[in-house]
Amino acid sequence: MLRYVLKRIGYAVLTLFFLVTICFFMMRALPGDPFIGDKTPSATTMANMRAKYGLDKPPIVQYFMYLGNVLRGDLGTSLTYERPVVDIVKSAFAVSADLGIRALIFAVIIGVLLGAVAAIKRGGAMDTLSMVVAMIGVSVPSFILGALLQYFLALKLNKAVGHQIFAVQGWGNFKQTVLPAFALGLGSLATVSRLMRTSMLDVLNQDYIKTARAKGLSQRGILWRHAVRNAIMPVVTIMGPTTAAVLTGTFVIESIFNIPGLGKYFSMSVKDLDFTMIGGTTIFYGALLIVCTLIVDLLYGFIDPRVKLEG
Amino acid sequence: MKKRILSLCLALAMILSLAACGGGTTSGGGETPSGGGTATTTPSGGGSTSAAPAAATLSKDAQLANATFVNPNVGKGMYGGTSEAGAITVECSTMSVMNSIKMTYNTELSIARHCYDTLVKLDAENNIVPAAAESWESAPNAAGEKDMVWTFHLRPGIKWVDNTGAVVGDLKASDFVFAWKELLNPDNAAEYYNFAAIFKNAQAYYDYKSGAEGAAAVEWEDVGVKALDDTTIQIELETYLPYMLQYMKFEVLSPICEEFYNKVGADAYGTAPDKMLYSGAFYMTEWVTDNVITVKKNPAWWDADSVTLETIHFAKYSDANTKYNAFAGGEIDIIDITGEQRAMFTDEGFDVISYVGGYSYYFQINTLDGPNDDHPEATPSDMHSKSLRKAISYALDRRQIIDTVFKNDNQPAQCFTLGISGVNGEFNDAVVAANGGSLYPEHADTAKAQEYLAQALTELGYSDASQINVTLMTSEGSQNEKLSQVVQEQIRQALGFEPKIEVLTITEARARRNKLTYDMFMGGWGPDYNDPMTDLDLWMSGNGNNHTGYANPEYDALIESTKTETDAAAREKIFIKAEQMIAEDQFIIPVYWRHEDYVASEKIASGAVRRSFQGYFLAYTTLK
Amino acid sequence: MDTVTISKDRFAYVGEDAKEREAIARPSMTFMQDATRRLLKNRVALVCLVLLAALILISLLAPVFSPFDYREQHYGHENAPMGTVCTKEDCPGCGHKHIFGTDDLGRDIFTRCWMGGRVSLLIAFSTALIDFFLGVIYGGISGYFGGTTDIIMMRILEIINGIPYLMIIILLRMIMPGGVLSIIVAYSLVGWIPMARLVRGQVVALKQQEFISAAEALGASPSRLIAKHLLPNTISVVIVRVTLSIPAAIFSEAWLSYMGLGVQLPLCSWGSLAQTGIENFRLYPSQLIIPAVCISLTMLAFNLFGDGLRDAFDPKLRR
Repeated sequence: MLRYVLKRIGYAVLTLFFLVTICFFMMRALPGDPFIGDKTPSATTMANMRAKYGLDKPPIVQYFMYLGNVLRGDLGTSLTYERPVVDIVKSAFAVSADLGIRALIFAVIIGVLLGAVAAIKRGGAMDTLSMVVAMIGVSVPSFILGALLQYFLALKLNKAVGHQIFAVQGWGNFKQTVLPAFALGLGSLATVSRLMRTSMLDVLNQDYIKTARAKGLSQRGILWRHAVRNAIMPVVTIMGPTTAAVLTGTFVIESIFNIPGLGKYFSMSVKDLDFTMIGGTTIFYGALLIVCTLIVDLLYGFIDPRVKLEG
Repeated sequence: MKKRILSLCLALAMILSLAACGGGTTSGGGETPSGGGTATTTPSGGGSTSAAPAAATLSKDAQLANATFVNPNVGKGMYGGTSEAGAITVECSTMSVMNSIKMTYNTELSIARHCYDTLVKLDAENNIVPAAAESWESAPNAAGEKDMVWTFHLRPGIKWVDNTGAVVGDLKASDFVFAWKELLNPDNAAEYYNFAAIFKNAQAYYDYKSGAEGAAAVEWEDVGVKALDDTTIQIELETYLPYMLQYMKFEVLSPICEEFYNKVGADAYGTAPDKMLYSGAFYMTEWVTDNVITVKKNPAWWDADSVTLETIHFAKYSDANTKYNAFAGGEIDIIDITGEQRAMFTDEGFDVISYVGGYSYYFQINTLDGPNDDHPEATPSDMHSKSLRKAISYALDRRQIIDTVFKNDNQPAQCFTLGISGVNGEFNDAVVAANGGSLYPEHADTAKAQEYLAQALTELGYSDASQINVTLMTSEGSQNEKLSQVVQEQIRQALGFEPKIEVLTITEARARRNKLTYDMFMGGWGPDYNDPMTDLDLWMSGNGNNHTGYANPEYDALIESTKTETDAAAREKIFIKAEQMIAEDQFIIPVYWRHEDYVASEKIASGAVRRSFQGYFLAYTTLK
Repeated sequence: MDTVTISKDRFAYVGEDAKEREAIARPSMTFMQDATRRLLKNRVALVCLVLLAALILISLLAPVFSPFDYREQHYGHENAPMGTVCTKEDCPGCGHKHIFGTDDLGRDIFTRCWMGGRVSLLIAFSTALIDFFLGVIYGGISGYFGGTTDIIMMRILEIINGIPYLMIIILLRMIMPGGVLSIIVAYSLVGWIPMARLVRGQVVALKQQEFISAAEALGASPSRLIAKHLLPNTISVVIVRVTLSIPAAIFSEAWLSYMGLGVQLPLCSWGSLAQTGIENFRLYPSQLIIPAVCISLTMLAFNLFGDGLRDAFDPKLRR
């Protein structure tokens, strides 16, 4: 077990290294020039700007300098914001993670319950409800869902009752978190509940469930000790990358609810050619993704004793 | 897309109108009022209440601000605005950088305007008035050229305050000089260093420090700015500048506390509210990157008695619907609006406020049929056929573009230059009058378009219009995409070929524009100063912002000749000729003149000034 | 109680009939035959299949037979409500109805909706297919072999996942002509990753089971094991994931349109129509509802059909 974890950490470092390398050379291939604005600065100023960010050196030199800085925990200064990338990522991630955790808790708990109950009562009312929720969750994209929630539940509802129930936008208090967390979580909820339902149906047909039933175990004991535990595997699998993605925020939800999260930097840095920011967000996301998948793989062993962690 | 240009251009208000007062006496408010942008409100009935506060306690600037902007919507009971007492929240589209010397965007400069006082500033009518400097005078230089040496006397007792509003020290004249030195420091790579390049030897200093080839050694001591004592600054100019004071109001020339700057370090300065010191009407308390900046009233400011507003939140919105919902939900007080939103407000009887910033929008065109010495990477474009360019100009229905894409007061472009005073009245009116009508059609003229198309086909050696290959390059954004689709369809209807639309990120589009690897790309330009020269020298062959490949010695000579022409009427005739040459050679296709629309909540009673050349100045805002 | 005695001689031994013993009472069915039969018995799935076919057919035919061109802008007739009759005399569609009204540039939404359907359905089907094949095979191999192979294959996924999607799109567009194809390729590059992870997770759990040991003991080759024993048992999860990835692909295109990197203008997709719809929905709700209903119908059909497929193909549910 310990050996397995150590080995995985070794691989994680290697993965990050490849990710940084690929990303570094890919972003240098992006078209455009970060220093040309609407107006074109003079050639001297452009040269000064390049020199300031070390972009005047050959790419390979820049690459090794960047690697060295990253090892020392320095992700550089953002070209757009002229502030340290680490500071921006830190404060923005605090917001995204806060929102993301709310969304995930909502998505996982409701999703698993809805999926499990739908499978147990297959064809019943709960099954239909789970289908409806899943349909809404997957077929209404977040940019529509977010805008509709904002319009009807914040603006119209507040007008109707005469005081503020949900805030339209912004970040800071509870009123401002409910709608974006719901909009952010609903997609994952749909995925979780569909996967849970189908996997639960599989499990309920397995022989060991029949055996347990034959041995007179209570229905509740069978479901929770045997069925859910085995059926939750696919959900756990997708939770690794989903957690990483949800915690780092999404551009669409953040821009609709005007939340100062990390999501927008993933897109905006690429559009603005903010090289240090692209590198910083990529490394951060990559590391988070690796940690999440590692946790998922370890969880496999705990949840399903049949799975052996091979090192 | 034009934010950066806005920043550069808007601020230099009315510049030449001030040339009149270059005579260099002392300060005062006697300058000529501006001509460029006037604030107008769209009336929609409903009485407006004037909420002028007790005039006796207010400074002249504050009284003017309160008289200039009176919110027409007060008392309608429709959009009440935010609930926080003594505070307003206003939209601010870009707020990436808060270190004043590194700012480039108009909205960033607007925030700086609240946190720092430059030597002089613009009042609510765009006149130059004293700010950090109480008075100033000008004198001839050693060679006897007049108005070359300027002396500014600072207001006594200006304090530096920190992000809690506590006074930490006195502002000295040397803090201004220090800020300008840092602006010219190549290590900072300040994009707008050229505002300090008007000082004697400053450009040479910058080039030398940048390690430019062949630059002569120039040290800081040689640059023509000095703090004579703690309250006196002397500036010697490189060349005569009639609108010198207009330069001195630029926020990139704001002071920086030298001691503090050295303490926090050049890299850290300006990266957080506690890493800056303030000397203006407000100080910054909170800064959430790219989301909100909060400033609070600075009791130590010289005119603090005239300020009733306690707090301003500058909030950034990236979604137009969210912005509208926030306004309707009472979470923001001033927002810019789209044409659809304008219609909704007007239908409800809520007044929309609009002003002209002097912005002219046009298609810039790659007129080259291959690379040349100036543009080694240029790609050949079918648009090098002048007739094809003309055919497209006649194929455009400018009115339809405005009606379908913008749905506001934007006007079809009648010539290139907008918002500049002429000898009598507006320069653009003079152009139209001299030409006997608009230079560009308002509605499509299919017959003429076809005529030119036939010529274009001969020029290009094509037998059929479908062989024409033109790509409409556009940057992302639903309005840009909408405009491109309207233009594409208009060309298809009138000329029978469909230009391709290529949607790019703004960075890629700009790079391709600069390399001339495009066919057509929308551009916008606003005036730097109040003279047609600010717009028309753009198309001279050496201009760094001329991305059309147009290089016509005749045009260059025409523009050069205005520099020696002393008769104002004759000079204007030359500029009119230049406008006609633009229309004749059609290397740009002017499309529309822009109007800016915004709404203010009923919480704001008066004094929230927004106008051309200065963006926001909200210090004198009074609340209901 | 009487006992009836039946004497032995009332019976006669007729001998063995080898033929009769070999005869099969019910016709033998292959897996596929059985699955097809079960699928065809599922009414809901059939209805959904018909619905999907109908959507495809309309998308293909409606723009061809519509009197309006999807690009044609009717100046002065912007944002017309549903069912407005076109009164523009110089237009070939004059006198015909704009069934779904017109958009903010005065274009016929009915025609545009089905043009958009072509794009969205093409993206939906092709990405589903790629997702299915690439993801299932990759995940199957990774999960079955385990050990170092598995670790390395999974790390490759993490690297691909870690690269900003937008960067991939922009770079792809530099080397490929824009439009639908590059969107499909871009989505295919990353879209199959969740599927690969899921399948791998299932296979890791399944391969410890007895039937795999049995098959191994009987000398089944790895490829046979993966293809015939492991993957069929993951089919239910795979189908759910495919049905979920279809909307993801459609909206990935919408998101790209939002970022300005979508289909070649003036072409549209359901995603980009919904995108403009949301901007105008306060004034003209139908502009949002129409594409949204199309997308939802497609999703519903795919999901219910997916359920049917699952029931039909899952060996565990075979009776």
